[in-house]
Amino acid sequence: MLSAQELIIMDYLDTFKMADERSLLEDLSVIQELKDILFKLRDSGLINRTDEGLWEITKTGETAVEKARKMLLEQCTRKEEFLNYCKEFEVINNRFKSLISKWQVKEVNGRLIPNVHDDPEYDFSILEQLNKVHEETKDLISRIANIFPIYERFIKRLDVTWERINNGNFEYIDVARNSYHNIWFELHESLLKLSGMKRIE
Amino acid sequence: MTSRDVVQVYTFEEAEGKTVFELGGKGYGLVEMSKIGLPVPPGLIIPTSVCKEFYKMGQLPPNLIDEVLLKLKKIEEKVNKRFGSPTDPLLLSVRSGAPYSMPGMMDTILNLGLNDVNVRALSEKTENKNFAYDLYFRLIEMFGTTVMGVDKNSFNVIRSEYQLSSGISEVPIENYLQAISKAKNLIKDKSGFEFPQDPKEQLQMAITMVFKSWNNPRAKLYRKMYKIPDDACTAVVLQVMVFGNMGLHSGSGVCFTRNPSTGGDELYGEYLKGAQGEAIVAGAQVPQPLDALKSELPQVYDELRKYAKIVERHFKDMQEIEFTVQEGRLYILQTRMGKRTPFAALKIAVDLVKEGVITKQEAITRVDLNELNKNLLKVINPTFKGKPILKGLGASPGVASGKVVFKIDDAVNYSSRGESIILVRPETSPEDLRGVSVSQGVLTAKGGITSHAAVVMRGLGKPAVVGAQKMKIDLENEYFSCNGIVVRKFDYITIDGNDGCVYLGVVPTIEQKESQEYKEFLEWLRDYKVSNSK
Repeated sequence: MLSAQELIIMDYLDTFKMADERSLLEDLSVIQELKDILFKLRDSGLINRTDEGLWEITKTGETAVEKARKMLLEQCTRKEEFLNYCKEFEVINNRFKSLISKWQVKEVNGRLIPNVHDDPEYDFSILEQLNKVHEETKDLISRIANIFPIYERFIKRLDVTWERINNGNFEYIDVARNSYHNIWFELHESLLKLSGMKRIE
Repeated sequence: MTSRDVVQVYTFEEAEGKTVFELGGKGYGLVEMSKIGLPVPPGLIIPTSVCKEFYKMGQLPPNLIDEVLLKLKKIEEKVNKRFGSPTDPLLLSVRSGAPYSMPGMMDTILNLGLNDVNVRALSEKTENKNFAYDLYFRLIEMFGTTVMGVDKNSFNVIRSEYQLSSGISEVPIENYLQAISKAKNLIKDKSGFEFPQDPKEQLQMAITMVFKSWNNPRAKLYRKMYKIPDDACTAVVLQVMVFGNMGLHSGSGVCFTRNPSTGGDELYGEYLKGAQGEAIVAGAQVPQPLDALKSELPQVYDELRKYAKIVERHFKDMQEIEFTVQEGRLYILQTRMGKRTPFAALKIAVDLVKEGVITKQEAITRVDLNELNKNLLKVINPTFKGKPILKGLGASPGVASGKVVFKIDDAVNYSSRGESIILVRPETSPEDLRGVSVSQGVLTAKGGITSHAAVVMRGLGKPAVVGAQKMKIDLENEYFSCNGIVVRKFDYITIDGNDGCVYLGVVPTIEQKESQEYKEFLEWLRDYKVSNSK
C-alpha cells in the first residue's frame, strides 16, 4: 500500500514516465526527504534509476499506481462529487487551452501567425483572462484537494508560476520546463488517470 | 514655486521640445505632427506632471480648469467656435496618454461640451438633426460609461430599444430624443448624479477620471507585469472634434505607412465611410480596404499618401496613422510606431537605410536577429508541385522534414545523434513532452489547434500538424497508413505546419532567410561587429 507521499511520486512518474532528479526536487518540493523515498521505491521495484541518473517508472510500478488509484477512488465516499469536479475542470481546460493558443498565435486571413507580442492590448487581455482562469482553477483544486489531499501540491505550484508571470516573466506561460501550461498538462493527466475519464483534445 | 507658477496646460505649439515622458505618447505624437505641418486638429495637453500633482494633492490643482479654459481661447480663435457656447459650441475629445502604451487607462470621450441647449443649435446649424443628436447620445453614453461608472450594456439596451445603430441612424428624431432622455435617467439611477449640463463641469470630471484611471486595477497590474514605473503617470489630450460621420464625403480610417506583413512600401489600411474612428475600434461596422478611399476621394488619398511619407521620415520609422475625413478634408488624429511581423521589421529597416532615413547602425539596433530567426518561417518552395498524402490542421507554423518515429525514446535517442525527427503520435500526453521537445516536428492523428502538442510546439517555435484524422497509426508495428499509403518508421516525411499538409519524402523549402534583405542585413551586422572589435 502506497503512502500519500509515495503516491504523489508514483503519480508524477506515471505521468511523465521518466524524470531527472532536479525536476523531481523542484516539482515535488512538498515532499520531505524525497530522495530517501525514491530509493525506497526503487528497492521495491516500482521505479528504476537509469545509468544517466534519470528516474523512470517500471511496469510493476505502473500496475501498482493504477491499483492504488482504483482503490482510492472506490473507497472514496465523495466519488460522485470528485467526478463532477473533474467535469468542471474539463470546461475550464478548454478555455485555458484556447487562451494559451491565442497567446502564441494570431489568426490572420485564415492562417496562424506567431504572436510577436507587439500589441500590449491584445496580450494584456489574454493575461487578464488567464488570471481569471487561474483563480477559478485554484478554487476548484481546493475543492478537489478537500477530497484527495494529494492535489494540494498543484495549488502552490500554479500560484508560484502565476506570480512569476505577474512579474513579467512570460516564458512561464508556455515555454519554460515548469511553465503554467506544463503544470496544467500534468494536473489534467493526473485527474484523468484517477477519475478514469478519457482525454478529449 | 507654487502650482500657480507652473505651466499646467500646453497648446501643441507651446509643447514643442517637451519629451514623451512629459506629454505622453499621444501628446508627443500630435505635437510633432503639428510641428511638421500635418493637418492635425488643434488641441491642448495637460502634462504628466499635473497627474503627479493630482496624486499628491488628492484632487485637481485648484486653477487647472481655469488655465485650460484660458488656453482654449487660442483654439477657439483658430476654429471660430466657443467652448460652452449655446449657439456654436466647440466640441472636444478627451483622451488619456501615458508615456508607455498601456491598456487599462480611461477610454476616449468624444463630443465633450454638448448639452440640451447647444445640441439644438448644432442640429440647426448643420441642418442635420440626426447627426447632432447622435453626437449627443454618444457623449452621454461614453461619459456615462467611463466617467460615471455605468455599465456599457445598459446603453446598448437603449440603443436596441430605439434602433440606434453604431453610426448615424436613419430613425425619426423622436427616437434619439427618447433614447437621450432614458440614458440620462439611467446615469442618474446608477450613479446618483445627473449627467452634467455645464461643459466646464464635464471637462473637470473627465480630466479627473483620466488621472484616476492611472491607478485602475487593470493599469496597475499591467505596469507590474511590464515593469513600468508607477510614477510615470498619464497626460491628458484635449482636441477639437472632427467628424467622420458628417455626410457622404466623410469617414475614418487607420493606415500603416508600409505593409505590416511584408514590409512592402505601400499604404495599407482600412477606411469606414460615414463613421467616427471609434466605430472601427469597436468593430461595430466592417471597414473596407484603403482602396475604397482611393476610389471615393482620390485627392484625399493622395494627400494621405504624401503625409504618410512625411510622418515616416520625421519619426524615422513605419507608422500607424489614425485619420478622419470631414466633408472631403483630411485630418490626422494620431500616429504611433506601427506593429509589424519580424520579417517586415527587417525589410523596413533595410529599406529605410537605402532611402537615407536611418543609418545601418540604427537598423542593426532595431532588429533582434535571434528573435527574427525564431520567427522567420520556412515555407514549401512554390515550384514544388507534389501532392500531400495527408492533411490535418496546421497548428504551429513552419515546415519540417525528417525520419518518422513513433516512440518517445526513439525521438530522444535519434535526435541526440543529430538526426532530424518527425514524431508521430495518436495524440499527446505529458509523457510525450520529452520526445516532442527534441523533434523537428510533430504529427498527431487527434487534437485541434489548442491541443497540448500544438501549444508545446508553438512554444518551441517548431512546426506541428494535428488532427490528421485519416491517419491510422499502428504503434506496435510502428507505421501509419492513409489513403492507401503506408509510412513506416524511419521513412522520411515533410510536414507543413502552415497549412496542415503532409508529404512523402523531403520537400524543397525556402526560408525568408534567403531574402535579399536578410543577406544585406547580415552583411551590415558583420561589418559593424568587425569595425567595433578594432
